[in-house]
Amino acid sequence: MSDAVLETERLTKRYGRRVAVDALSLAVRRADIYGFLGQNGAGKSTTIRMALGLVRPTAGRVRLLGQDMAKRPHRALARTGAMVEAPAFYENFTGRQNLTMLAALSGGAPRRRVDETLELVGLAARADDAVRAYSHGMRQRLGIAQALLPNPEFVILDEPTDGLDPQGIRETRELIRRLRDELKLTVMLSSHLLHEVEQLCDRVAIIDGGRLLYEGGVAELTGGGEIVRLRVDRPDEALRVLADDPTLAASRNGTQFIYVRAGGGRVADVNALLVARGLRVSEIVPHRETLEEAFTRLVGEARRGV
Amino acid sequence: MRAKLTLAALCAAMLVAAHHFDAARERTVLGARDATGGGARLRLMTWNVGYAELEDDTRAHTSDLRAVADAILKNDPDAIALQELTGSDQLKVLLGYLGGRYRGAAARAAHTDRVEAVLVKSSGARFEDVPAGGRYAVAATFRPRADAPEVVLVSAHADAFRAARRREYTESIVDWARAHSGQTVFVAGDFNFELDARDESHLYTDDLKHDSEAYSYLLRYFRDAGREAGDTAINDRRIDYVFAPPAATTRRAEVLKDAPVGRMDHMPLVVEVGL
Amino acid sequence: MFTLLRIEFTKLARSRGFQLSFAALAGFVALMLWGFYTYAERKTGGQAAEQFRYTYESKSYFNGLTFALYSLVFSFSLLVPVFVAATAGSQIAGEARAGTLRMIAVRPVARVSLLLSKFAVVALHVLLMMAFFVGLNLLVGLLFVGWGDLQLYPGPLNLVDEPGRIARDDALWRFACATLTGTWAMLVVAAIATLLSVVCESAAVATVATIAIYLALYVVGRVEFFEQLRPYFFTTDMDFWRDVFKPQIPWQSLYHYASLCGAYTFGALLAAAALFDRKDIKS
Ligand SMILES: Nc1ncnc2c1ncn2[C@@H]1O[C@H](COP(=O)(O)OP(=O)(O)O)[C@@H](O)[C@H]1O
Ligand SMILES: [Mg+2]
Repeated sequence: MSDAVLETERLTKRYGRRVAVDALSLAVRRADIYGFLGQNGAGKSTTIRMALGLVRPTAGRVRLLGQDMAKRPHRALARTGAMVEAPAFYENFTGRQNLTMLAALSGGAPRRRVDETLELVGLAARADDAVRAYSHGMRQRLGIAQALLPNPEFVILDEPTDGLDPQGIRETRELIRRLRDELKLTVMLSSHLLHEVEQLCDRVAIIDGGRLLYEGGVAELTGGGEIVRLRVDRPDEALRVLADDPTLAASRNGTQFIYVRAGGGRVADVNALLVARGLRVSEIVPHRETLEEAFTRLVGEARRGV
Repeated sequence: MRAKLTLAALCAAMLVAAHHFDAARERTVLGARDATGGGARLRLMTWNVGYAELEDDTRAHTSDLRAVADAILKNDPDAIALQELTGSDQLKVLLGYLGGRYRGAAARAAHTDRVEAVLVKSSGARFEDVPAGGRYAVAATFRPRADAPEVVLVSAHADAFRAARRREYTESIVDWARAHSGQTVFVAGDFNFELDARDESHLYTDDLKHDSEAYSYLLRYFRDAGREAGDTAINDRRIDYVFAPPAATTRRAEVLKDAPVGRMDHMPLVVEVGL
Repeated sequence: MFTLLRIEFTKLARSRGFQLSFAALAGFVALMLWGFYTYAERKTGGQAAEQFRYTYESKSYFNGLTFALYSLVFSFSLLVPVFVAATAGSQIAGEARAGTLRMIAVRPVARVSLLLSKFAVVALHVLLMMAFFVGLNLLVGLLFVGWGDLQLYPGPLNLVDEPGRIARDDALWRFACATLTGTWAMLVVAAIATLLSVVCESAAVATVATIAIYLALYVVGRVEFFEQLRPYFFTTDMDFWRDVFKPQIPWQSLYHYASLCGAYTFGALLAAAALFDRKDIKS
């Protein structure tokens, strides 16, 4: 058994003509906080539904906790907690009753554990109100609570911060970090708000139009100091010069700066090249993309067919 | 998978069970009670020889009486109850066609243009009027065979249009028969009952209640001997009956589909019972 | 499975439809009672209260058991199916629409178990409804008219074609039987509604579709035209439930039609299970 908690292999889902998920291969490793990123409609929820056996893949395979979901889903589901899209509850039951009922389907949870979990998500005070009276944020927390209650080793949260206020987002982020650090859980969370998960995730997958654009560490994606920002007196000419070397990726991004990806300590080479052509370089600064910028870049490249 | 197989097995088991328990088998149980021989037999016929609604004269037509006589002679009943004769003159013509083999009497006419009649094969029959609902039915008392006990046949015709009248008439006849409880009384004729109430919306109509109760009242003292024979009149109606004493067993009950001539709307019902 | 049953029953018992079904049946009994009173009043010239019992009792045509039988027969065909269809039709489609189905379906529970426990709970609801309705009718009959022998006449109920009588104690036992046969017959409607609940996107569509199918067959089955088709309608087979009120219970035919109904029920459930197992839960 590999150390992958969730593995998909060329997972595909078509709804009629529309391809919602297109040959997607992912691997979520144990003890990761794995960010699953993409714009609305990118196919995140559909992938998660297939991972949990809610939707049958058109093609491809899912292995969850080592089990083939097409064959033996229950053993894996018993060790997985999930919240798929906005959580839904039995409105005329209290939060606590909802938790107890849902937990019973996973083998039951003692009352003490229900209390602890309610405490953990900050709902203890309102646990005995009918869910009907809950705000959006409270439902979201209850959704996380029901995912945690059966004591899983792997938690899948689909847009857990969706629709929360900044305070709520911060708290949720804090909670997810505690899940990994204190409870040693593996967490996969999807989001379309990249800055929210940037500091949280160890590894991310970025999808667009159902296709995988990137899977790996956040640092590798955002540059990690390999990108430099140059100030040059004649930027257009500088770009042409840099374009001659295929190992360098340079762009202007509509600014007066030039951005160059120059891995392996080749910053000095770039400088030397420009100076040799008579260009005057007045500033060289290491640049780190935000996740959002990296994402925009990737999506842009993918759509241009690069 | 196991659950689905169980469901499939249950479904199949139910089909096998449905096949095993044959609903039709039960229906045959409702037929004639006694199919064995023995005892005296009595063959009765009842026939409303009048014409269908909308004809100029809905009573019997004298020109048809030859055919009526032929049907009687062919089936050779011990006694016949006829309805809707115009009067005793028509009866006389019919008895003539029957070649003196039958004797008969028409009911006393009262406010109506048509009368019942009763015909008996044996000699020595006594005839009497049976007052019923302001009118008269007619009865014959006779011995089917010299060594047989006496029986009574009442020829009756209940109002075609008013259920309340039908009920009153029927109850009078039943009460008359009960008063003759020492004798074996048969009641035959056209009762015009509307009993087939498949449409539940008829719950509160008087007609249904009256007819149902009149019929019920009859069945407290008689058996409906022609039940299995089917419809006796046009429009799929079974409105001509032979009511037999409970002890009588039905040997045969048949509606003669080919007997009617002209614009007759009824078919004769022939019932043979063991006494 | 037991946990599932317990949870499903809790959910059902708390639902509005469940409570409404009993209220509506009680309302129907009140309506029947009112109908019988006004009928009696018209017949007796305005002294209903005193003459009501007399009118009927004197002819021993009508008593509390007759009332219960009429009320039961009339509501069974047209009223009970509505609630059965509503409860069963919302089981899957309702939860799918609300989104709670996906909350359950990501738990380690076999979908077929979930479906069957939902159906079992619906069946329990039907049984409770029948028991409640029969009990209430008998009680109202006892209080307002009094029990007696059950007299049967050819006519409205289309039960017998010769008058019959069932002794009081025997008749009470027949009512108990009718609770069971009625429930068994109604399970056909429940199973079809469950099947449609799996297929349809919303509870309302599943419920209305079930009622539409049921009523169409029920009505068509009563039109003379379609006499030849009648044997192929499940609504015709469901009629077996009231055979227990015939003076001589036709056991052969009762078993025959009960088995047919069972075949319909399990067949529809099998289809529902197969479809639900492969269904994409997209809501
Ligand atoms: N039930 C469905 N029927 C048809 N198309 C669907 C259905 N669900 C999702 N889609 C399509 O699949 C794509 C991916 O949707 P989704 O997985 O919900 O995206 P995300 O969760 O990333 O916002 C979208 O284009 C959406 O329109
Ligand atoms: Mg989504």
